[in-house]
Amino acid sequence: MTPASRGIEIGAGSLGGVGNAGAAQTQRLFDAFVAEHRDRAVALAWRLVGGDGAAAEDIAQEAFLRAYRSLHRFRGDAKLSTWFYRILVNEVKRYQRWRWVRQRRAAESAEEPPDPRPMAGDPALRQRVARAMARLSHGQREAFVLVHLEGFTVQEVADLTGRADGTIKSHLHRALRRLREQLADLDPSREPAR
Amino acid sequence: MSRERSDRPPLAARERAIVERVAELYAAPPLRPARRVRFDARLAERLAAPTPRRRVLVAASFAAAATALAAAFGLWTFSPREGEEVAAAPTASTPLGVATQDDDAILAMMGPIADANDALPDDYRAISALVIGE
Repeated sequence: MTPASRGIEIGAGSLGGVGNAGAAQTQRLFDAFVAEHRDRAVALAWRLVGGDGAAAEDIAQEAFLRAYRSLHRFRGDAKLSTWFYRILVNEVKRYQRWRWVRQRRAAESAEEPPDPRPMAGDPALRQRVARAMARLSHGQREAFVLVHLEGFTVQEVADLTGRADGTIKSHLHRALRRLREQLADLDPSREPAR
Repeated sequence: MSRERSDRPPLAARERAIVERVAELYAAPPLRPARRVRFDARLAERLAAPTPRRRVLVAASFAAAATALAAAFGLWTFSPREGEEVAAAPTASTPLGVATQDDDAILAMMGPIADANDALPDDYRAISALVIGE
């Protein structure tokens, strides 16, 4: 069964056609979906992998590709975007497993976050925050990024990651406690220390 | 996302401040238009490429077709043409008893043998003389 014959909704459109016209419409709507979610997908992957821009783009690419090829499996019981972000989170996990194996073989430090790209603001402070994020466990970072930085609900994160709500809340609590310990001096009301 | 945020744990003012600072300082640089175009082009290229599964199916179909073609060619090459004489099938059931057209031709060339012992080599004939006494 093709996605078109299921009438899957992508963004504002609906895939209702069949045959070549349906396939063309699916392609068009998927392109619109990519255009709508591309930047957020890359940004989310960037935060989850710890600031590696090239890896974030690769992960987002792979997630879009997998989503497109698996559209026929999308049951429509969740929003397409939620389904897609679940794929993205899984791709991040796959990448992290691969990186972990590679780092172990290369005897590199798994704790060292990649250098962030040159950006506006204090690079030392950014590096410090990146290090604090890298020191969180994978589950804590995932929960913190998805809930507090990306605005997903706890229930949505539970759906995305396949973890229980209570586990997510526990990760959030511990992540915040650790960040508070390490970044206690950060005060948004004043300029960051130089 | 679009649902209610009521299930998010409430944050104290200090915690909220830290979250806001982290959100500000731990963010990906925005994708530049050129990078966005490159991203879309690469994705479109990958979407258009055949899937690994489809590639395996195509390769398997090609291999099966090639095998069938080779078998058909072999049958056509080795099958007898119209009017062509078919080689005689072996007539005996044991390998020693197999007699073909080649055997008949050799026997015809050798001509008639007066004594069966003449067909034997010299040493065999000597053994025969000793044992049988001929």
